Amino acid sequence: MRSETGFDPYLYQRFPTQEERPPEEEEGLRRIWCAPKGWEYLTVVNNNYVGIFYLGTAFLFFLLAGVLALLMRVQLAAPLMEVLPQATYNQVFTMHGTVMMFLFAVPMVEAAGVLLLPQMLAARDLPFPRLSAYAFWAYAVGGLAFFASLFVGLAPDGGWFMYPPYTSKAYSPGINADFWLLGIGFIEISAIAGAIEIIVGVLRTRAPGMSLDKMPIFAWAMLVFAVMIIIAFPSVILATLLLEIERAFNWSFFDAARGGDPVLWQHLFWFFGHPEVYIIFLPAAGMMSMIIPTVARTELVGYRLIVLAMIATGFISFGVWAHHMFTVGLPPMTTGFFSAASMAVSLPAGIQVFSWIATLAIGRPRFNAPGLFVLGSIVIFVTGGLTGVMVALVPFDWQAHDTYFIVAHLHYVLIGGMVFPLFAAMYYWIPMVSSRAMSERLAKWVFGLMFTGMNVAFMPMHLAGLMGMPRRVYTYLPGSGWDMLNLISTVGAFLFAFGVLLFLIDLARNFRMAPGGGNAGNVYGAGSLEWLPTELYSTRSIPVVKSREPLWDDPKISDDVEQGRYFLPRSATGLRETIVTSPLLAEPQYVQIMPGPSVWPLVAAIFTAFFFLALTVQAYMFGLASGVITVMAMLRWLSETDRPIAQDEVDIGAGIMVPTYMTGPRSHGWWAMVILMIVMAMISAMAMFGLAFLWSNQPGFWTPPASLGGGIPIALGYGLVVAAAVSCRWLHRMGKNWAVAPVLLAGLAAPLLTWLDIRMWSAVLAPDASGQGAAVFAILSLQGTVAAIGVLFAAYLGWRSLRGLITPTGNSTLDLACLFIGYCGAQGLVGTIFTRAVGA
Amino acid sequence: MGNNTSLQAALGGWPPAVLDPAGPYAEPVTRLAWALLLGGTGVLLIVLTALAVALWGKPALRTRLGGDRAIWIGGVAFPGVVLTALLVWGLWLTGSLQATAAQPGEMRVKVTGEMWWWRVTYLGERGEPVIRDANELHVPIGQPVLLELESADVLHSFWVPRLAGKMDMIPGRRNLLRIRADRPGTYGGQCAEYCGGAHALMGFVVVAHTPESFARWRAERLAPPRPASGRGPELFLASGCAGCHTVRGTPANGTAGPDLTHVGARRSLGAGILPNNRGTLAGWIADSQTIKPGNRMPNYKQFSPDDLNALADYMESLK
Amino acid sequence: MKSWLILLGGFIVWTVHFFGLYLIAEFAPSATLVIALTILCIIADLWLLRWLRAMACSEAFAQWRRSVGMAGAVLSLLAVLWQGLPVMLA
Repeated sequence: MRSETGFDPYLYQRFPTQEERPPEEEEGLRRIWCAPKGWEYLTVVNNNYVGIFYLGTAFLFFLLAGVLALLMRVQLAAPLMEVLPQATYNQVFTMHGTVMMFLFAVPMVEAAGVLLLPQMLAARDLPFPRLSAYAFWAYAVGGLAFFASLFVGLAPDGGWFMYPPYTSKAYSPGINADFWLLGIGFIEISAIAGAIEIIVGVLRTRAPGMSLDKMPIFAWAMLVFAVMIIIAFPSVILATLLLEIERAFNWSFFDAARGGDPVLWQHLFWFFGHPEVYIIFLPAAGMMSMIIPTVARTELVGYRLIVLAMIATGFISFGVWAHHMFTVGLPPMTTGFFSAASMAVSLPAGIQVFSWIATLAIGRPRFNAPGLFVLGSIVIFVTGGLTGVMVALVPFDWQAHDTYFIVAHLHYVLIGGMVFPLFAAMYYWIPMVSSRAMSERLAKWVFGLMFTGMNVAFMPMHLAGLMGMPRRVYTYLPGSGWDMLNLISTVGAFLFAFGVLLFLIDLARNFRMAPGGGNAGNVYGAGSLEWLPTELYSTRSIPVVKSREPLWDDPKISDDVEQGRYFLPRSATGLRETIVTSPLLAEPQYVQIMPGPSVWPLVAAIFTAFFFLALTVQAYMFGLASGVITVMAMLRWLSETDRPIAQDEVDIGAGIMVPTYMTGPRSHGWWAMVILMIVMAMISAMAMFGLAFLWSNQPGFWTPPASLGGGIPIALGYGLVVAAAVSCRWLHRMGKNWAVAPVLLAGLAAPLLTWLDIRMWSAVLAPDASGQGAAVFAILSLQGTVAAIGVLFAAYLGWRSLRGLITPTGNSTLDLACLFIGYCGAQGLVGTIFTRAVGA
Repeated sequence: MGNNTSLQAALGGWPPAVLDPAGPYAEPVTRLAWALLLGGTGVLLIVLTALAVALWGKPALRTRLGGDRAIWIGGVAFPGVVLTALLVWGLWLTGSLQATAAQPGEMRVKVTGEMWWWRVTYLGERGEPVIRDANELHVPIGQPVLLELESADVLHSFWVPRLAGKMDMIPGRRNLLRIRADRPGTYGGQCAEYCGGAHALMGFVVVAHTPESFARWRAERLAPPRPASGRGPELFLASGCAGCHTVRGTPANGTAGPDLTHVGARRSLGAGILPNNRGTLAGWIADSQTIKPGNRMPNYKQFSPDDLNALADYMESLK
Repeated sequence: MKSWLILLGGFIVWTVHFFGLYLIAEFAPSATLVIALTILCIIADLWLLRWLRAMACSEAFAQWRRSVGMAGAVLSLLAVLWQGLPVMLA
């Protein structure tokens, strides 16, 4: 086989090694990856802990949002009930949707990735453990505070979709809507942090030899999931920013009377909102594809087709957002191809379902707890998929849209496509982290109640919808013919809840966390790497992967791994470390030094949450202070990284030497920065789309933009920033230490250019004058924010440079600063020209 | 509750409104809906059968199901064919049902969604307002009517399932929807886009008349208003009602709330949530906030029972 | 890069087609443009299929990569055809 990086695959044949390993190696690993004690649980960054905390918190939100659902079902059990008053009901249904989507579903699958991926890939941890910890704490603190808004009657009531103008200041004057906009703000940050972690983890920290075609299917799912987050979330980040700015400063993005357009929100929201459904579904489908082969005791049929289906979903789900908008009055040509894409996106789902059926067909399936839940999932998900095809047809959607038919459809898809797989996954993987497995006997009851309850609750809603019952109604009138159906739904909801309650009882009886070994082990007889014997450092040694189910194909592998007969059977540098491999064929490239426990991610996370909450309750000084503390904490955390390492090269087993440090495009830091740049570029692109959209939909409000000629010097200035960043990185690698200086200058110059641009535009337009003004100044404000972060980068780079931490070989910080400052210049260049070109 | 006095009787019950069309802009969708519901059930049965075979079938059958070929057939080829057919049907139907600009001589009505009621304005040839009403729409049978849908505040969605699919009402935009009722009757509907507060209580009826009956109705509406006098009209003018409501032929000319010139003739009260009679009228005036929390009309608890009766009598007389 | 191009090729064509259609519909509605874009994308998908078919692959990974790429091109072709239908029918 040809090599990707120049690594000779012939070297893999040296493993498993034969000689005895010295016993102090294992001691060393234990010491370096030691378990936390007492307060140290708060500063832990290891994925075994963060993953469990993360999952537990997300599951808590599932329960909380489930209670809200039960409250709603009680209110709707009969006409004109007075359990929840109107205003409360509107808050409750908003929170149910918001919490389920943002605080349960996305974090839950992200947490599953954090917990499972390093084990499946046989890495010691994810590449940025502190980032995981930060993402978790920001989410946990912020999420709980956000949920608490319900208890003081300040919860948002605009629906999880928050359509303006209802959510604008004029119709929602309270701070309820701000809770949503800012509350979701930091959850988005947390999701993106997790996504960066997962992409780099999956592509760069796989066990040697685990080429893309041997990667566990869950890792594929998480890869596509994370990429989708990177592309989709910027859109909702921008949307929430714009709406919050409109509410706070009266800029008119969505106010039709002043040249904004409420439909712009719908485009931005659903460009995120529909992929979101697949963002939730894909990891769950990945879990299904891991569990089913084990349940059926055979290998997965159609692995490559499932990979294809996941990639296809990742793309095509970005072409279906307008099917939430078929009743908005879009031109027929537009609804036509959105309808077509909505059909197309059902094909990958079909491929996956038939792959699962095919796997069950050639195997010897067992009806154990995970088995029951995967079967239930297939039945429910297919039903939801079929109603999905129905509503993809525009004329049928004109009738079904915004009725209980949709409520039924989406719950079939999400419960069948995510909740049931998740329960299967919990039964399946709990033995990996707990010293006892769950009860198989109780599981049958849990499954029976949940499956029956689900169908009893949601099947009648199809009919209620066809009978004309709209969604989001806090009550209905007697004589509407909906009474009986709603009563049945309520009964079903409680059956479902009893199933979940039984599960909780089982969890309380049997779940005993055992992250450092001593877990129940491979009770279902699976074949993937997460079932290797592990301790806190993950596996003793990192195996060479030759197939998709190594544990089935090589019965000796567990023993060999445990005896240290594979890669990295010790800590080569005396620090936490893992092997970074190449993205396609997973050839070992270098050893990454990983940061250990730290209090700073926790501090940064808490103050990030405080920052957003303070803005919500308009405690601006406190908010400012929190923001400053957040930035300081992050810099402090950062300053401990990227340190010189004594050994340039280390032996990672069998005499194979790799470097301990890497710069440039092969380093994991570079990858993370590039992904972050994609996020920022997407936000910026969405803002520019907004400007163009308003121009095309509200031409009557357009004024001639600032002159292109006046913008050219600014654009040239931005061009110089890019040039400085690119050339200085190159010069520095050539040994020119002075080359740091121009980068610093460029970083400091960028905000001046933005300031000049703002001055020029202020002479032409005001941000609260029209949609155009608002959109232009939004683009300028984004640029200002990026430039301000660029200044921070420059300052940090300067500090490290003065401390002598930037050397010709150890210059990752310079690399990343150059990337960011270069990006800042590029975005400014495009923005300067684009704002002047639209409607010129 | 009387048969056609309130919205819910007109909307609810069996058969489901979406499957019981009353005009040519709903009927083809019903056909599509039936095809989808039956076809969807059929496909579900096929998948369940395949699943059952995979679990319990004969080894030979299971082998045939367990390969890439089966995945291609079940996951791509079969849906590919079915969905192509559906897509063509759906696109053709979309094109044929999409409302186009008004035809010459066609009846046009502007319906404006407001929090949480419907302002109805019948338009003349040149788009000028001719008749003003609220919360119900009168149409002649067998004749297409073009609705111009707008919003005065937030998003709403106009939906009378037995006559047509729904169409959103969006500030700054005017959406078109064509309906035609083929049989006389009352067709209910309800706002379908969440619009805050009392979204659940924002009903609507379309009343379809025979041509003769419609002509009569129209003549009544166009006739000059009858003068009224007595305690009721006096209270109406003196208590601030006129600040928001219009009663043609009197000094009351407010436009924030529904036009009450013919309120006594309406099928229902409070945007389709109460039957319309003296009792409910009096109750609504005194305590509309309990009946429909958050609606823009304040409670008028200061009226004595006699005053309320007088006002309700007056309202009821406005036929 | 080549590997990613093979794995994602079909869907890159799909992306160009879909967002091309959206931009045309939003900013410059024209049936001719849509049809031209659709034909171009169909050709691109067919060319991709031909290129992959002819590609010599001896190693397991290269074969796997090619088969995923070809299946992707087939799906992309179907989706592009469907997305072109509305204008062709109108």
